[in-house]
Amino acid sequence: MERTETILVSDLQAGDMTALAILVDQYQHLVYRLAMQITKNLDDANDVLQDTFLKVYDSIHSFRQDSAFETWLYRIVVNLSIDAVNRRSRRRESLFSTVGETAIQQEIDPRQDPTREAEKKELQEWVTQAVNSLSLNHRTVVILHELQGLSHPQIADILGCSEGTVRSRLHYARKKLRILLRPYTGVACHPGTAKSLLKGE
Amino acid sequence: MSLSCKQVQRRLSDYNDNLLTEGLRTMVDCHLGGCNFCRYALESLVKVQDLLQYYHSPPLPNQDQVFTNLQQRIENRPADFHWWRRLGRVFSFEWKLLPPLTRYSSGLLIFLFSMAIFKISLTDSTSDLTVSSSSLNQVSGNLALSDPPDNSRSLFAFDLSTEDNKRFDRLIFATSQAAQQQLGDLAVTSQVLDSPAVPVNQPEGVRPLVGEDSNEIDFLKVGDEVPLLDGSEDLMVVTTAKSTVEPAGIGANTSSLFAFSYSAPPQSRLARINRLPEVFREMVVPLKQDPRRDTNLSLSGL
Repeated sequence: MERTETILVSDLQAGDMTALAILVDQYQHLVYRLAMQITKNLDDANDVLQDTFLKVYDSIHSFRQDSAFETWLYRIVVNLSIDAVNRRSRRRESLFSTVGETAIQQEIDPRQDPTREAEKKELQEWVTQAVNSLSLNHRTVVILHELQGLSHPQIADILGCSEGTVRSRLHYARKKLRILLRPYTGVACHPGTAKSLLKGE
Repeated sequence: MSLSCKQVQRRLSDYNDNLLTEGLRTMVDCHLGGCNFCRYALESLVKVQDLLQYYHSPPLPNQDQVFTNLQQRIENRPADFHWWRRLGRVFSFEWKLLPPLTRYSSGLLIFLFSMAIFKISLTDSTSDLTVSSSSLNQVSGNLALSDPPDNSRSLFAFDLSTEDNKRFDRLIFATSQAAQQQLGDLAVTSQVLDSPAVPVNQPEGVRPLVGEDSNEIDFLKVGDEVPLLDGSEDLMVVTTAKSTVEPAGIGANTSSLFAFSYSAPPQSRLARINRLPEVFREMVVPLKQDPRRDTNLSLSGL
């Protein structure tokens, strides 16, 4: 019989490690993807992935089932990822690591049309770089809303801020993305503006 | 009322997410119907959302290893971790659920409590401010209080034969006055004598140098009458006076003695340091550095 999320959480609270295994299996891709999108660093994303489930295991007793497990999990991942980014920036290390071409190249299917694949790859690079050039706050909101499909109240709950803040961040992030992605959106923009924005200035 | 382009642009994001009120939405719709620039802006916003599907993040490598690694980390943790975990569970509390005022008040209370604990940990009631003189200890084995009171006491004596010492005498007098002004409960006693502070060869059971009041210090000379401490009314006449210092060390017939004592000793080390008058601390330093003077003053208990 398939166990529901509520039962899994209850079982984990009772110390059942198989429940943890199932939860890890269910959510590991989501956690890794989200950590990767926020941290933009493979090592950090792997650390966040491990630390997230370790925190779930350690703190599951404090989790009350009146809120969704997924929202609670999101909160843990986002907080750990933001911590990782801040730690890395304090160490003055580059935030841009291997999340770029090498990983994208691995996914190219040689059986597909090469021209089309190259265009797709270019678009992926452009969009990835545009999102990565956003500030941490803006990027997190864009990822949670546009990529993870979370609502404004959910994001506000996860980030511990007001809905107005979420909307404001989203507004400015989208505005910046419209400029950064103007070759694909057709919005007029001074070339220097887009260039400086891409550099993260 | 119609909206300007700037007002519309500011609301485009919310418009796109259907977060505007009905009235505002109608106004934006109305504006978009007649403004190409804002309509293009909205279209580009929609395009941006479409483009974001191309945002690339690499897939999870070694997905089968995630749980295995996690299990290893849990098992490899120190045995006492579970104790910490239980403790952590006690403190795991959703602080964010509390109203801000309660949250900040709790934080303030915890801070004040921590400071109180810190202060108590620094409390040291065993000793208090004491200025001692090594030469005085030589001079006055009998000058030291045989039964010192709980409050602190500092004693030192020196001769006034040299200009340096006279200057020091003036300095210490001014210092003591200043100290008295700064510390209400600091009792300062000074006495200039016609003769050196001479300890007596006191008989057993006699405590001739200290009166009933611990702040009063008397000096005995040959011929003085000293009451016995056994309660009898008999007086003992001092017939001999013996100095343990070389006469050359005294050098003159005048001595000055100061006694400092706190009537209410400060409770903690921090308080003691803070209450020690600045001038008093300054006074001590040159004494330590003056090689000509045989008064090696030191602050003990600080």
